[in-house]
Amino acid sequence: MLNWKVTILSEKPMFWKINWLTYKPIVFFCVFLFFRCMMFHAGKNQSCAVSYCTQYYNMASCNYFLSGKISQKKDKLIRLASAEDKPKPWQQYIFPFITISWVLSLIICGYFFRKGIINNRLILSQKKDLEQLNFAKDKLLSIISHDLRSSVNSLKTSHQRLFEQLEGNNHAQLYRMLQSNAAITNSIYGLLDNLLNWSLLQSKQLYFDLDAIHLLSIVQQVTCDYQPLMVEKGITFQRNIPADLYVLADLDSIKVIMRNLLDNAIKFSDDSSVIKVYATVRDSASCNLIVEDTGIGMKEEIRQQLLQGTFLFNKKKAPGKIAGTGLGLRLCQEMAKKNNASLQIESREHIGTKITIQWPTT
Amino acid sequence: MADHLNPMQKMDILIIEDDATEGERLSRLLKENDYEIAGIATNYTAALRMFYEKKVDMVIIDIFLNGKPNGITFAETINITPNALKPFVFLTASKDRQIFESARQTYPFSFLLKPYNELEVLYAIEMSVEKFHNQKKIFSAEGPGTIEALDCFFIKKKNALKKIWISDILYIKVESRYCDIFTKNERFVIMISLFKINELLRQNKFLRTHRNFLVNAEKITEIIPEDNTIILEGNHHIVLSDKYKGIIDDFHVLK
Repeated sequence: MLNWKVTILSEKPMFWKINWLTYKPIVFFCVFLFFRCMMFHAGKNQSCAVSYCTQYYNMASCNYFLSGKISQKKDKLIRLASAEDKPKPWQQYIFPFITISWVLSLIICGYFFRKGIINNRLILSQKKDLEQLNFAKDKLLSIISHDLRSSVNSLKTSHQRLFEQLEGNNHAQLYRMLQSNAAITNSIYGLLDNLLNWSLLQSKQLYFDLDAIHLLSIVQQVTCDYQPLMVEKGITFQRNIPADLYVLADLDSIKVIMRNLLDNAIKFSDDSSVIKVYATVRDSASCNLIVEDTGIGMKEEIRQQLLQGTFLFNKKKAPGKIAGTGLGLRLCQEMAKKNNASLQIESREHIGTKITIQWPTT
Repeated sequence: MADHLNPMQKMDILIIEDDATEGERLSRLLKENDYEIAGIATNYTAALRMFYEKKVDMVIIDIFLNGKPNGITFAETINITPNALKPFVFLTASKDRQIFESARQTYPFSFLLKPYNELEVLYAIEMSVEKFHNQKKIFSAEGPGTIEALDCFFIKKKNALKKIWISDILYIKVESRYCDIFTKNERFVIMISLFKINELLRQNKFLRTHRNFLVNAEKITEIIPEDNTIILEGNHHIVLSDKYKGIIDDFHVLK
């Protein structure tokens, strides 16, 4: 299965990694120029020496036939020519130098060529990952929009019926329907809130500020919103958090996490079951915050998927509920990580789920 | 300053919120929790006017007023005005980092995200008072947490913060951890630091008459040295131990 978050391109760009494509023509051009110059110089000197030699040699051989008197001069010329023929000291070294340069340039070119191939391979694999991510995102978007659409649609139809009931002055029925509408609106709101948090977190636009936070107050604040829901489902809620426990966290992050964990616990709990929220001190620098339910639990396979940060696309949707895509728990994990906290899931099907977050304390 | 009948005062809160329904809702919520509303301002100028005209102990500021981040401007204004600053809480629906970063420039910064519930509002108010007086982890801790300001104490009574003017206190009975505060008609248990006690003594606002008793100098009506007794306003009799009889010398005694 795919991993949602992938580091885009190389983790730490080295100069050749990002600039190789831009540098390639320049490097080639430089190497080319260098050799062009070397060849030109070497060639020019060589040809000069040879032409001098031949010139003098021809003249000398002509003169040989013309006159014996000139033979003295001829010898001198030949000597001169042979002296010219002798390579100058720098000419002696030019050929090994050229050879070494060639070998060096070949090595350099080979190195860059190899890097190029590795880069291409990296880009290809990243492209594949990105395509997969994009696919996951599209899929997520379609699932969520589908959920939203059906929820809003049920509100729409419910509103029509509300009007009818209002005309008939059927207050008991009105009350019941409004209650169910409120529940739908709440769950839509929760989903939208998660989506917003998720997108802000991904685009790094989320305000984040670590501070000492009174855990009990925060848990009280969050449970306050879920109290009616739990009462309605007949869930027994137990809370046991030491009053002197302060965690080092971002205020909104910890609320988002608590909200999601409680929401999940309620959503996946049968009527008249028990939800426990409690905290234990681990050591001087950390504590465990635990949300435990006696709900439907989950299969090991799903637990693994959630821990790996995979979205659950193939889950059957419970009728009348927003299907769990795992977005909420995924958000919790990412936010916990940002708060230097870690999240563990323990779950057994039909027995319950226990989620433990290890928070740094102050 | 001290001419109030009830020594334990409600805090006056100014609400700056452009949405009338939201403002009403918040105002009702605060009143239910025993806070007083100094006013609801819907724009920047009205907010400044109310802030300077009325008695305000803290401000709840909506960042966006009619689409403009004027809430931040308001906070900046009271930030730079000397001696005007009060604890304040920003109210916003946006989690946008940029807005927060600019709001954060104002001090002391605390915020409340919309939508909020009752507990969140009360918590935000407590936090802002704690931050303002730079005394942290007071109200959330167990026991009668107390914030010590220059001329008053803030204590938490049920859910709301209350103010006790130091000038209203008749005497303080120092127990091992807590202090009993006696005013004209009420008695509170609060926590005062040794530092604050020493400060009160140094400023001669309070006199030590016994190992455990601090008496408000202004409230003394009679001193009877031979009975080792001090009588305070409202006929409270306090012990004056021999060790501390020296305080009598500080008064101009008519003979």
